[in-house]
Amino acid sequence: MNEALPAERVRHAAESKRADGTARPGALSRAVRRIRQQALGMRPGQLIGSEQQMQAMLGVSRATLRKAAAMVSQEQLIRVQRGHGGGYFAQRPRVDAVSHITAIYLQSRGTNLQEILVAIEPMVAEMGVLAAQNRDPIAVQALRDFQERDGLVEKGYREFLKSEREFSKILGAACGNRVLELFVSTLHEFCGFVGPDQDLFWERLDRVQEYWTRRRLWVWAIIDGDVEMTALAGRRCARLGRKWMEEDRPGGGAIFPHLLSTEPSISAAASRYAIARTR
Amino acid sequence: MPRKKKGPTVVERLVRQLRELALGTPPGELIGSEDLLISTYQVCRPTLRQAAALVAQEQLLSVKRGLGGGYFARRPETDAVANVAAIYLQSRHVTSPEIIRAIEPLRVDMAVLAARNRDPTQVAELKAFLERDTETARTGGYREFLRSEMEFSHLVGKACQNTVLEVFFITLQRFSGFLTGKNDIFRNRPERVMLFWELRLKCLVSIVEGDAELAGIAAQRCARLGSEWMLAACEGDDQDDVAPLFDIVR
Repeated sequence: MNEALPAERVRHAAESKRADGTARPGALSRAVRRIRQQALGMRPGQLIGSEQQMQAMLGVSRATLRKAAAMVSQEQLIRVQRGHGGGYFAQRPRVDAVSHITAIYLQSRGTNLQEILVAIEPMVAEMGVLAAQNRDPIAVQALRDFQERDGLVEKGYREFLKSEREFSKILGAACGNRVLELFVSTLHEFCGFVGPDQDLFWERLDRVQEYWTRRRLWVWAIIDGDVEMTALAGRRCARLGRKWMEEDRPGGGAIFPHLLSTEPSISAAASRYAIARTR
Repeated sequence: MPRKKKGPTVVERLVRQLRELALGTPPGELIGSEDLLISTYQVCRPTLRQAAALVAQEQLLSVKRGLGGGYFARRPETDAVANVAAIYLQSRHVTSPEIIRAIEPLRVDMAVLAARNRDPTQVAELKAFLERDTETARTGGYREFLRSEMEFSHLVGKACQNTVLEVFFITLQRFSGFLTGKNDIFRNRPERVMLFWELRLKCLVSIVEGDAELAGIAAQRCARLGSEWMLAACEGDDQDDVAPLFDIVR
């Protein structure tokens, strides 16, 4: 990290200190807000500006700009590229931006896995209901195609994870509610952190098959547009997970302990189990 | 978008270290002075400050300057989650109806879980609120209603004993402008306030009595009613209208 140049230091000091010597809180947060707005108004990948341009545009020192940029890139709204052809580029946040901060929040409150499964249930069930209400022929056909393909697959552990991932995506699209989709995929990401010792399906083919059978019934209900049946079948699927969790770990299971030792890009551990994040 | 795989930068590594340090320190307690952290981690001041700003954004630490200053541990509030979720949803041009629809299942399950929670202190607290609220509802009034609605959400959020549902619910409640905001569905509509309040009281009674099924049905009706009004209020809006979301992002 470069030390700010002397001239800039003076300017930085001038803009961040009031006459009475206290820090002026506005400059940084104003810069953050403006960068955010710029980024949101652009297509992902589009150049917002070089560092000099940004500095001129916002009227701040380089140190303030970098601090602000670091905060906005933590929100995954921009990507900073150094060197030749570098600059600030617009970016669209991925689900892991949300799951990262949610993980911090939940971990600081000692949330356990059972709580997460309890919370998933109503949201997933509602996604099913919304999908069943969505009679758009393309969405229905996508579900039907999936269901047919899925029927032919061998019912093993790996195949199950793959099928769950795919189903999650299709359900997310069919329900047309990106808020629920976001929350559910956030929570699914957490489940992806668990090691084999907490994985409900690891070396439990009986569970894989029972769950899979139930889920197929649920998907048929969605395809049929049978809202009531869908609601019930969705809940039943979700409850299976809770039941097994209670069997394996009476009392709720561990607080997910290793969430934060990893960075936002948690995909290595998550890929084994997690439901794909929306892009 | 292809991205070169690189190891973590100095700042990234430091962020991780500070985060762990902060989580391991009881809230409000000193993590360390700036000078101490600089010498511990062998970094320069700007690097430390940049890393600390990021961890402060996650609300895991706060910075106090001057004598007796330094970095202090804190625990994130719900708005830490709400802000990031707001940015994500806004970047995808999520519309108000989607937000409104997503609240419904949360509301219902929170009520059901709260009804199942038979912890005596919790029940007593809800019961005391029920008694007060029954009185207040009789005279009605917009402001009183808002206050009561906030308290209801808070108490049920606590009683449902599910941090996940609670944080998502609060997040959405803030976005939707359900209570205040341009789509305020209750302002100058005393008949709505009365109707909604009455229904919510029924829900509260069921929660206190521990009747989860009834609590769920009553909560569902409340949620539906709220959604209907909200959706009607959004009708004339620009579809791409999460702009108000941004007002809450600090």
